[in-house]
Amino acid sequence: MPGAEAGRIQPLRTLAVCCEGFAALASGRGTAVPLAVLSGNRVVSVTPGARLEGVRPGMRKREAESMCPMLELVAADPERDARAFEKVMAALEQLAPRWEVTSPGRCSVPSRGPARFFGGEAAVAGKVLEAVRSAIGGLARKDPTGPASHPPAVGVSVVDGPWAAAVLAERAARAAGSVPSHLLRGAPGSSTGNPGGTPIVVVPPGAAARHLGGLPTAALMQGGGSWGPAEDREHLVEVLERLGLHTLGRYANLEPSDVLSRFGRLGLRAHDMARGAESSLLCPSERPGDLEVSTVFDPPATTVEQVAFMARSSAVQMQAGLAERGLVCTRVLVSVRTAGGDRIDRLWRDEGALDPSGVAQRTRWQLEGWVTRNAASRECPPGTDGDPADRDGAAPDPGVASLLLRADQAIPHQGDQLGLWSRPGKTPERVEKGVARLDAMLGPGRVTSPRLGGGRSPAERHDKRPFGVEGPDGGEPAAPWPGAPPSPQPTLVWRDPQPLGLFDREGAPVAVNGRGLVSAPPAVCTDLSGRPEEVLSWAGPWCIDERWWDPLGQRRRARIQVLLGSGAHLVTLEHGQWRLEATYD
Amino acid sequence: MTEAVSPAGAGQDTRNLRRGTGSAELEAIIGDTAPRGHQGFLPLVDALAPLVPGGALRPGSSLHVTGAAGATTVALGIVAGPCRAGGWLGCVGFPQLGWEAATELGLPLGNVVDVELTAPSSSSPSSSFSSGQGDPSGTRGSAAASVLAAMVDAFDIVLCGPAVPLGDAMLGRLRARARERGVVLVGVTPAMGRSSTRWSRCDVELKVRNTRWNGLGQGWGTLSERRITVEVSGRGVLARPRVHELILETPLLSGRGSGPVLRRAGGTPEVADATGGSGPREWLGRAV
Repeated sequence: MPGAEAGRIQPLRTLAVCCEGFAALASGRGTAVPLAVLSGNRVVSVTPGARLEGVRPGMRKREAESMCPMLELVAADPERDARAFEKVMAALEQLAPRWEVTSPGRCSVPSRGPARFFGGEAAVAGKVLEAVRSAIGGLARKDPTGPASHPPAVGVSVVDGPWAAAVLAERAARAAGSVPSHLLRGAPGSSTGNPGGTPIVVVPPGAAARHLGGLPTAALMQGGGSWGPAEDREHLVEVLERLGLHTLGRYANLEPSDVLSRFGRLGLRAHDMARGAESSLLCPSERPGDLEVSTVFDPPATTVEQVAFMARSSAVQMQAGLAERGLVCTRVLVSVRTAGGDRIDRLWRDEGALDPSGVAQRTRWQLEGWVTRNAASRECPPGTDGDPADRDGAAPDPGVASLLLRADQAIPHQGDQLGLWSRPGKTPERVEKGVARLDAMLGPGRVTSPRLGGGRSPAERHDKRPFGVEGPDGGEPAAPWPGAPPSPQPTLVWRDPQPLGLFDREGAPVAVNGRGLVSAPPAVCTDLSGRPEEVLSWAGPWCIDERWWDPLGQRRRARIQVLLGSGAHLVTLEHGQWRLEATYD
Repeated sequence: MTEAVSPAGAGQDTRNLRRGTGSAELEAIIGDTAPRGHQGFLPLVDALAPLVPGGALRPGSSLHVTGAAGATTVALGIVAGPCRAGGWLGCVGFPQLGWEAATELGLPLGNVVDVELTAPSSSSPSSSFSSGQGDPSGTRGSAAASVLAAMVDAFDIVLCGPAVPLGDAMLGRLRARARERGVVLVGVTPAMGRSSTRWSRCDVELKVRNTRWNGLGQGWGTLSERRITVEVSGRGVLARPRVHELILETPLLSGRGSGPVLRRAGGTPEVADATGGSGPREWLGRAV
């Protein structure tokens, strides 16, 4: 066995950072506030304050609310998380270059260089932990009342191999963030791991297998899945569990040849990881040479949207270059140079492979993080991050001068198994290409995918966002929205409702009083040109007093449905003026 | 795949039998996943199926929906069917379209891309109820034609709203391209908007004769049931115009959620699931 190992490439010594519940912290409400981030009615991330109340990721919304009635709920927003994480990354970049972001809250770096510089792996891990904690503390500064007893759960690990590092960092973060059971209000027995466990794990070289051996097989699902599609990994874990291989150690004890014949390449990959020998399978062509695409903006681009749009088309170009060599990119370097001379570099890794829209999205995250950081440091010049020397001039953003994308790491393309006709939920390539072409013709923001939103007016109930961009939902469309027009919904919703006149039999304008009653039945409706039309029938008014507590967002309206000879309409009264809001065409 | 098994012989019987069942299974799969009909025909929802021969749109054909109020509803109903079968819809020049109404009519928004030709400000109705909106100020003429050409390359069905400005010659060229690619063009001229394109000589012409609303009284009720009379004309079998009545009703007292029901007069109603893509794929039949 040792003989076989000798010929292999040594696993890459990696330092990984994991901030448990980063999405909840990114909302900026502080650690003590019980807050949960929801995605699809499930809790995906909680603050330490919510954890103390017994709220856990994976719970349903209702379950979480029953645990903690004053729980604040926030919709998941990857862009907000990415923006917030940029602050953490800015702090980390002062310690070491070449950080790689797996997802907001998780990042890693090859540890050999920094360890030599700072004099030891434990020392660099300590510094990293310190930097992350203070950066996260900065996120929650808006809430100075937060007691210090809710430290954010951060874990740092230094292990052989990126996957092992990510998994151990995640476990360390969980252990550091776990609440002592006597403090738990919810389920008393649910506290796992050692409370207040050490947030730093440094495993000596070659000892990764021992540390991983005790972990349950389900740990294969953790640590970012750059090694296989999620459903395949899930299937593998399920099979291993059913075969009685409950820990990674037992799986690691199998013969590699047996594993290969029984579980295939994915199984072998997992087996290597369980043995702490993961990078032996990494493709040696780590940097595919000259595969980079750079774009110069002249004049400098001033909006994030503009740069993201270019990133998309550059990524298409890069992908074409990779495809010629039969490679797919798993890690991409996005390097943005501003007209002011700043440079923002970031490595982005993705499970599976990065497609053009993924690259565009990450460029957007990176830039938005930089923009908000810039704005923040301009607001308070004696800021904590960056070099205030060139930022406190309160100069407007000079804009982005150039963008460089480089396929930093690539693996051979194994091919995608497509469905016989079409896979549901997957955009056909033809549509993707067409949208990119239309984007190029019309400029960004004109090609959108419509979706439903929540709200009480027809215009609020749908929403368009640029094609391929994920974001938070506007509101729950299915939630009860008292005051919303009843079904069937109007087919034409005017964006800029035009004024019209509504009169009763005597020719007096129809008004709605404070009790929600019309002054007289409407009989005649006139449009701007003054052409009258008889009101055949009508119903309402439906009065809505929205956000009365908010002086800026407050709206007070009354709606009625009118049926004219030419069609049925929804007309709205606001500030004493009737307007045509929507039409039932 | 469906031909009868030919050779005799006891040894081959079982193999043929297996092959037979295999093809039947395969057909069942095809029936589930591939568009109904054959040769890429785009199936309509059942309520609208009697409107066109075969209940499906011929690839490469063009439709025009116009007439009194109700044209938008009919057009949305038309495009809902192909999208439910997995087709992709590109919608252009229709910034005021109410997507919630589209969802209620069964259009899965996951398969829809909306393209805006004009700046958002010009999407409001102009002063008059009947003369529609002002001239689109942004992209015009040839630029719009190249956008539409790109859309024809990308989608299975293209819905052109009233803001699409195309000359007759451009429209002819676009139709030729759509015919070649097997893409269905649907032009809509709502009663409230004068279309910038003159849609003439389409394969299928759907004209809303009138639309009647029920449920709205003098100060009470809501718009709930509507009856739309559509006259279908066109080429071939449709040379002689035929009139159909469609009913869109909202089940106020049924426990079927809030989705309105689109059905043909005298037929069985169908409920469009209000959730679109995430809901059940099949329309749920309900007795009258």
